[in-house]
Amino acid sequence: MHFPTYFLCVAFWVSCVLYCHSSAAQFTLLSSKQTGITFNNQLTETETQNVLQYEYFYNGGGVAVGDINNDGLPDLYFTGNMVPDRLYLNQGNLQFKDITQNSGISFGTGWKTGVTLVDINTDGWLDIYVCYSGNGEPYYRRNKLYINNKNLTFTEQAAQYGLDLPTHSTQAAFFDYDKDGDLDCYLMNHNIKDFKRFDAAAVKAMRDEFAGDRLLRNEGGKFTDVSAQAGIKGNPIGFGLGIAISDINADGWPDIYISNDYIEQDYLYINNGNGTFSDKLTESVGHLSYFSMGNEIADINNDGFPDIFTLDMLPEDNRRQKLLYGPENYEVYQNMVKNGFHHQIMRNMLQLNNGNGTFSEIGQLAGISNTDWSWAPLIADFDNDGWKDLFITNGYLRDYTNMDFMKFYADKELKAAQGSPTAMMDIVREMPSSQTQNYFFRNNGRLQFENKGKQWGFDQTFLSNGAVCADLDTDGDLEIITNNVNAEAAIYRNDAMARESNYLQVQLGNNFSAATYGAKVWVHTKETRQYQEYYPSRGFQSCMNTPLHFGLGKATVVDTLKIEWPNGKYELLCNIPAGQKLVVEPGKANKPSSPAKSTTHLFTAVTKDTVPFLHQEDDYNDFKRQLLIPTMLSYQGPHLAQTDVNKDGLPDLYIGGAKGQAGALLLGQKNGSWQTSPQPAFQSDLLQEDTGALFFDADKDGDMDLYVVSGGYAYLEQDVLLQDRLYLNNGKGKFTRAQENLPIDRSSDGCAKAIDIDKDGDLDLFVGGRVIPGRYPEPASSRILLNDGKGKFTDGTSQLAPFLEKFGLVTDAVVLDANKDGWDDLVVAGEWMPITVLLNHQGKLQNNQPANQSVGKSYGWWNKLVAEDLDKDGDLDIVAGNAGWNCQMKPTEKEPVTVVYSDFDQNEAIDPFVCYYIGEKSYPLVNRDEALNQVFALRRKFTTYASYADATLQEMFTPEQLKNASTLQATTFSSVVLENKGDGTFSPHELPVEAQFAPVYGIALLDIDKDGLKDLILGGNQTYTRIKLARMDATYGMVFRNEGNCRFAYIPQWKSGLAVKGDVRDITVVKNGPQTFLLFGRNNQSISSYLVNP
Amino acid sequence: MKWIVTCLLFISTIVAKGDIFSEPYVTKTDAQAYVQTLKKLTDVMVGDVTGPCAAARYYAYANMAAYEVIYQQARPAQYVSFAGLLKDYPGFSTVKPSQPINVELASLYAVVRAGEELLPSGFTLENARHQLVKEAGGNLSPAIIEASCAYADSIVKGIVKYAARDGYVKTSGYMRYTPFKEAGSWQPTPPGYMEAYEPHWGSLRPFLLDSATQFPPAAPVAYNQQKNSGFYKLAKEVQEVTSKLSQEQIHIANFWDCNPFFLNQKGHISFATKKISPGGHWMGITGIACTQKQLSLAETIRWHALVGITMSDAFISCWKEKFRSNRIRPETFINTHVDPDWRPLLQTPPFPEYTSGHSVVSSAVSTLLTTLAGENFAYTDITEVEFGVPARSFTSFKQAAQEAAISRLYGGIHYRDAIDNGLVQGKQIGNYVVQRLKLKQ
Repeated sequence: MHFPTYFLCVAFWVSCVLYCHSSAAQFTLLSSKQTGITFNNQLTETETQNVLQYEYFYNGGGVAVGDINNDGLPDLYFTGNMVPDRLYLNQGNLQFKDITQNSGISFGTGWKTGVTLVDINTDGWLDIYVCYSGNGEPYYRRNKLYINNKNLTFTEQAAQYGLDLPTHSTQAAFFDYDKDGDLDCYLMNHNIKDFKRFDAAAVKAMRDEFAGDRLLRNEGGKFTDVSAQAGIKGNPIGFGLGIAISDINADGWPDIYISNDYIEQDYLYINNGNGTFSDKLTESVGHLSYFSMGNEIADINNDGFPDIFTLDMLPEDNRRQKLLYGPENYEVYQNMVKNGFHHQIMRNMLQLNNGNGTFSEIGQLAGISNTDWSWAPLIADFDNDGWKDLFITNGYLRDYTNMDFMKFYADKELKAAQGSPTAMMDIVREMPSSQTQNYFFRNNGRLQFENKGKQWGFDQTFLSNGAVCADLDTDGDLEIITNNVNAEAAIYRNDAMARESNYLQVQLGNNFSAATYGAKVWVHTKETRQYQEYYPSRGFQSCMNTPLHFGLGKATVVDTLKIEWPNGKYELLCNIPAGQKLVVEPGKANKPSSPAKSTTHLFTAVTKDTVPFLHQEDDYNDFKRQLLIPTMLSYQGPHLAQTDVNKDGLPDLYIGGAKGQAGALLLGQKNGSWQTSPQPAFQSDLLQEDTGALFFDADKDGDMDLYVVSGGYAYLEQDVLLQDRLYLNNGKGKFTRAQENLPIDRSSDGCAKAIDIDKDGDLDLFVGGRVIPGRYPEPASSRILLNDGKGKFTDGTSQLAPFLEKFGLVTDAVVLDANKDGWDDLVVAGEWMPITVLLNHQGKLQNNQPANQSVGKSYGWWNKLVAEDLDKDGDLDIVAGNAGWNCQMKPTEKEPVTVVYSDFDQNEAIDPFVCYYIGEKSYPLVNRDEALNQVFALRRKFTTYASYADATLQEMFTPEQLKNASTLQATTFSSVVLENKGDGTFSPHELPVEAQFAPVYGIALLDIDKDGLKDLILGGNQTYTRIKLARMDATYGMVFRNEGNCRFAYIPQWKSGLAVKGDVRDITVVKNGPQTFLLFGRNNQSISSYLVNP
Repeated sequence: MKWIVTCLLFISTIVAKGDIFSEPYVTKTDAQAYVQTLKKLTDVMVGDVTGPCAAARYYAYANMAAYEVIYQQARPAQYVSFAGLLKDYPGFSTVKPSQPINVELASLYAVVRAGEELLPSGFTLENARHQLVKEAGGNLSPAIIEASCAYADSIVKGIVKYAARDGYVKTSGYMRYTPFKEAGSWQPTPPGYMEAYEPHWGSLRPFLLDSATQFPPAAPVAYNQQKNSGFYKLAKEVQEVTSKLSQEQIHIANFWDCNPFFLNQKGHISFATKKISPGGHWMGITGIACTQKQLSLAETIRWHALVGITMSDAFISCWKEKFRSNRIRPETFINTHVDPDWRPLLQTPPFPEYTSGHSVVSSAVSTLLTTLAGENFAYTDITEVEFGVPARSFTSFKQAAQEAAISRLYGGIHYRDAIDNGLVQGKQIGNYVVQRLKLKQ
C-alpha cells in the first residue's frame, strides 16, 4: 500500500513539473549533454590579466551562426576571450559536434571578441573572421581570417587580405558600401587605456592607430584603409560596442550605426553614395544611449522603415538604480552637449524611424528601456505572430558600478589591505556579479512590449554576452544561442512550432554572394506587412548568416513577397505557401525598381518669409533653486494669440516674450508674410515672462485689446514683475498699457481666459495661477477679474469663486456652456490636478461633482486644453494634453505618481519628494545624494547608498513629519479627448499611442481632408527635465485624422510632412486669403511655419 | 573669585571620591586620552567624506562641548567663558549635574557624544562611547558615571542646539551655485567635474569674527589671457614649477594634500581613496603638540577647542572670498590656454581658487598654536603616515604653515598670490583670535 502511494506521488510531481514547464515556456534550455555544446567562456583573473589592466575584461565573447559545410544546417562558432574558440557542426536534431581540434582554428594566445562569417574569396564557402583585442602586444591582437578549405578545415590568411589589423577590435561587418560588387569591411574598435584629455574638439579630430574605427575597402581581394577619405572617425575616445548596417534613409545605399560606450556619442553614418559618409546623428535623433552597447536595426512596427535600438545599463528595479546613481550634475551635462557629444542618457533607446530623417525615441513607452547591464539585442519574430519580438542578454561579472563601492567600500578595503600591490584587484575579485535574468519582450503590435522572460523559460540567471538566433532544427522557429561568461553556452529550443503559427524563411541565394548583402524583403499577408534587410553582422560581437525569418501568424499564404536587390532590380512573388524555406537568387530579378514616388505631404515647411520672431530664454536652472522638482517651470513660452488688430482684414499675431525679451506684435501681410509692429508699451515690459496672451475687446470700443499673462519661475515669490498686463488698442493697432485697469497681482500665472461670468455683456477674465516661484508644488491661487464694462477690472474671486484661492498649479482652461443653461462654464486643468468642470450658477462658479466624476480620476500633468465640436453633435468637446507615456513614471489610479512636500527640516524651504511606483512600491524619484543635500538630517539616516536603496518616504520621515506634509498626485499621463455628452458631463477617450510619445503643450484643430470633421494637430516635448527623467523629445508635431465619434488615427510624419524640432509650447492655425498656415511656437527657437497643401 | 575657588575645591573632592590623592581615573597621559578619543571622530569624518569646511565646523562644536564641561565644572585658570565671547553662545551655568560627577569622564564622553550627534555616521561612535564608560567602571562608581554621562549629554544637547542655528541647515534652501560664464570664472574640474562645494559657507555665523568679510584678502591678480599679463605668468609659474618637482617637493605636496575624496577612474570602475581634511590635519598637529608637552586633560581640551574655533572661522572667511572672487583653477586655465596635456600633481578640489584654503587655515591655526606653545616649537608630524605619506619634521608651526601653503603650488592647484595672500588672511584671523581670547603673546 505504501509503495504505490509513494510512486503515484512522485509520478504526479514529475508529470506536473514537465507539464508545467512545457506549457508555460515557449523555449526550453537544452543541456550540453543534449546538444554536445560544452563551450564555456571561462575568465581567469590573474595579476596581469584583469579588469584593471583591460577594462573590457568582462565583455564576453561572440557567436556566429552559418552553414560552413553547405549541408543546409546552420553551424555555430563561439569566441572565447581566454579559452580557445570553438566550432560546432550541426548534425541535425539539435546535436552538434565539436570540430575545432583539427580545423586549423588557433589555439594560441590572444583575446578574442567578435566573429563574422563571410565568403571572402567568393568560392561559395563561408570563411571566418575573428576580432582580437586585450592588453597584450600588437602581435597578439592581429585579427584572424580563417579561409574555408571546404573539408571542415581552415587556413589562416588574414595578412594576405590585409585584414590582420592589430587594432583593439570589437567586431567587423562586411557590406558593399560603394556598390562595386564586392564586400568591404567596417572594423569597429575600442581604446584600452584611459584617455585623459579634456579638449574635446582636438580629441575628436584625432585618429588613433589602435582604437580608431576603420573602413576597409575591398580592392580586388586586398583591403585598404579608406577611413579618412570616407569620413569615418577614428578618434581615441570611440569605444565601439555595437555595429549595424542598414539602408536607414531608404536611398538604396547602406548606412552604418555605431554604438559607442562612454562619453563619445554614437555615429549614424549616412552613405552619400560617392564613397563618403556623413555622421547625421545629431540632426536625426533627439538623444541617445550614454554607455551604448550592442545594437540592432530592424522594423519594429511593420511600417517599412528600419528602427534603431541601442542597449545601455539602466536597471529595472529601484534598488539597483539607487545604487547606481550619483548626484545629477547639470554643468557636466551641459559641457557634454556643448562639446558636441549630444544628449546622452543611460537607458536603452528605441529610435522609431519617422521615414523623414527624424527618429522618435520611445524606449520607455515601449517598455524596453531598463534591462540592466545589457549586451546583445536580438530583434526577430520568436512567436511567429507577424511582429518582431526582442531578446536581450545582460549581466556583468563584477558589480563594481555602485556608489557605495565608489565612495566607501573600495577605500575601506584598500586601507585594510595596507598597501598590498594587488589590493585593488583582490577587492574587485571579491565583488559579486550582477547575475540578472535575460529579458524577453513580446511585441504587442502597438509599439509596446511585454516582458515574457519568465513565462517563456528565461528565468535562469546567466552572464550572457554575444547571442544569435537561428532555426537550428529547421522546424520553422528561431532558437536562441548565447555565449556566457563562466558558464556553458546556452541553447534555447524554440517550441513555437508546437503551436499553430506559420512562417516563411527567405534564403538569399545559395552562395553568400556580395549581391545579397543589403537585399530588402517585404512580406505581405492579410494581417501584416513585414520588412527585413539582409546584413549578417548583428547585435553584439555576433553574426547570423541565416535565411530571413518571417512569422506569419495564422496566415497560410504570403500574398506578395517582394525582394529588392542592392543593384536596384526587384522580384515580386505572389501566393507563396507558408511553412517553407524559399531560396531566391539575385540573378533572377530583372525588374528595375522605379524611383520611389514622392508622396504629397499634407504640409510643407515654409522657408521663405518666415515669422520674424526668435524666442530667447536666458539659461536659468530651476533645479538650482529647488533641487528636487521634476521639471523646470521657467520655460513655458512662447504663446501665440491671433486676431486682426488694425482691421485690415488680415490676421495679426502677438507672440509672448521670454524673461528679458519683449513680446512682439506681427502684422499679417497680403502676401502671407509678417511685419513687426513696433510697440513701445511691450518693450518697457520686457523683464516679464509672458506665459499667456489673450485678445479680446476689454473696453467695448470695438477693437481687440490684449491681456498678457505674466508668469515664470525665475522671480521672487512676490515679484512685481509677476503683474499681468492689459494693453488697450487705439483701434489702429497701437497698444498702450492700462496700468490702473488691473488689480495688483503678484502671482505667477499660467493662462487667462475671457468669460462673461455675470452675463452683463462684457468679458470678464479667469486667470489661472501656475506656481509660487521657489515654493513648488505649493498650490497657487487663481482668480476671477470682473469687467466694469469699460475695461477696468476688479478681483471678484472671493464673491464668485472663493475656492480658487490656493486652487492648484493651473496651466490652462477653456470656456464653454457645458450644461447648456445659457451661462458660460469653465473647465480647468493643471499639473497634479484633475480636469475640473466649474459650472456657472447664475454668475457663481461651483466645483461641480457629477461633471467632474464623469471625467474620471483625471489627476495628471495637464498642459493644454482646447474646446472644439469634434463629433459634430453641436456641443464642444475638449482635447486635453498631458505628459504622455514615454517616461519612467507611468501613473495609474492604483499606482499614482505623487509629490509629498513639506519643510521637513524647518529651514524655510519646501522639500518636495516626487515618488512613483517601481514594482510593488512607490519610491522617491531622487537619489541618495540629492535627498541628503536637500534635507541634511537624512545624512544621519542614510550613511550608505545601500541604506537608501530600498527607502520609501516611510523610511525617510517620521509618521509625524508625513502627517504634516501635503500630497499631490497624478493618476494618468494620457492625453485624451473628452467627449461632451451634452448634459454637463464628459466621457474621456485616450488618444492613440503616438499622441502619448511626448508631453503635449500645443493643440490645433483643422479640417485637413475636408471631410467636415476637424482633424487634430499636436505639438509638445519637454527638454527641461531632471537629468534622470531626461529630455522628452519624441514628437515632431503630429497629425491625427478625425475618424468621427471622437476617435483619431495617426498620420505618419512621412505623410504629414511635419518635422518640428524642439519644445513646442503653442500652435495656431492662421488663414490668410486662400492660404492656411500652421504656426508652432517653439521655446528658445524660431516659430516653425507650415503651409497646408491644397 | 572666592566662590569659584571654593567650588573648584569642592568638585575636585567629589571627583576623587572624597580622596584627593587617589589615582586619577584617566590612566593614559591626559593629552593622549583626549587625542585618541578625538581621533575616533576624525576616522568617522574620513569615512563619511566630510569636506574641509564641514570638518572644521564639527571639530569646533565637538571640542567646544568638552571645553564647556571642564569650564562649567572645573573653571581652570586658563579657561575663559565662551558665553559673551562667541557669537550667540548660550549660557550653560544653569545646567547642573544631579549628582557628583567626574569631570574627566564627562569631558571625554562629551566629545564622543557631540560626534554622535553631529556627524552623519555618528552612530558608529557608539562603541567608543561604551568603551569609555566601561573603562571608567574600574575606577568610578556607577552613580558617578551615570551622573557624568547625563551631565555631558545635557551640555552636548545645548551645543547641538547652538550649532543648529549657525546657518548651516539654511544653506540647503539657498539657490544652488551655477558657475559663471565670464572668462576667468571657476569651472568644475576633472576628473569628477563635481559641483561647487559649499558655495554658501560664507553665510555661516562665525564664532569670533565680526563677519566673514572682516579680514578680506588683498585683491587677486586680475584675470588676463594675454601672454605677458600678470595672471598668465602666475599660471605659467604653476606649470613650470610642477614640471620639475624635486622628490622633496612631491613629498610636501602629498603631505599637505588633505584631499578627503581622491577620485580614481578606470573605465566603468571608479572609486575614491580618502584622507583627512586640512582641518583634520591641524587637529592632528594640535594633538601631537599637546602630547609632546604632556598637557593636562583640561589644557589639551582648551587647545583643541581654540584651534577648532579658529579653523572654523578661517574657513568661513576663506569661503566667503572664494565665492566672491570665483577664480578659475590653474588646471582649467592651463589646459585651455597653455597646455592641454598638463595635469596637476594633486586632484583639483571642487571650489574656486582664491584664496588657498589650506594657506588661510594653516596660517590662522599656526598663529594660535604659536601663541599657545611658543615660538620654535619643534615636532614631527606623523598624521599622514596612516595614508601612506611619510612623516615630516618642523621647527615651528609657522614653518609648517608656510610649507602647507606652498605645497598647493607644488600640487598644481593654486597660484602663488592665493597662497601668499591666503597666509596674510589667515595670520590676521589668528592674531584677532589671540587678541579676542586675551592670550599672552
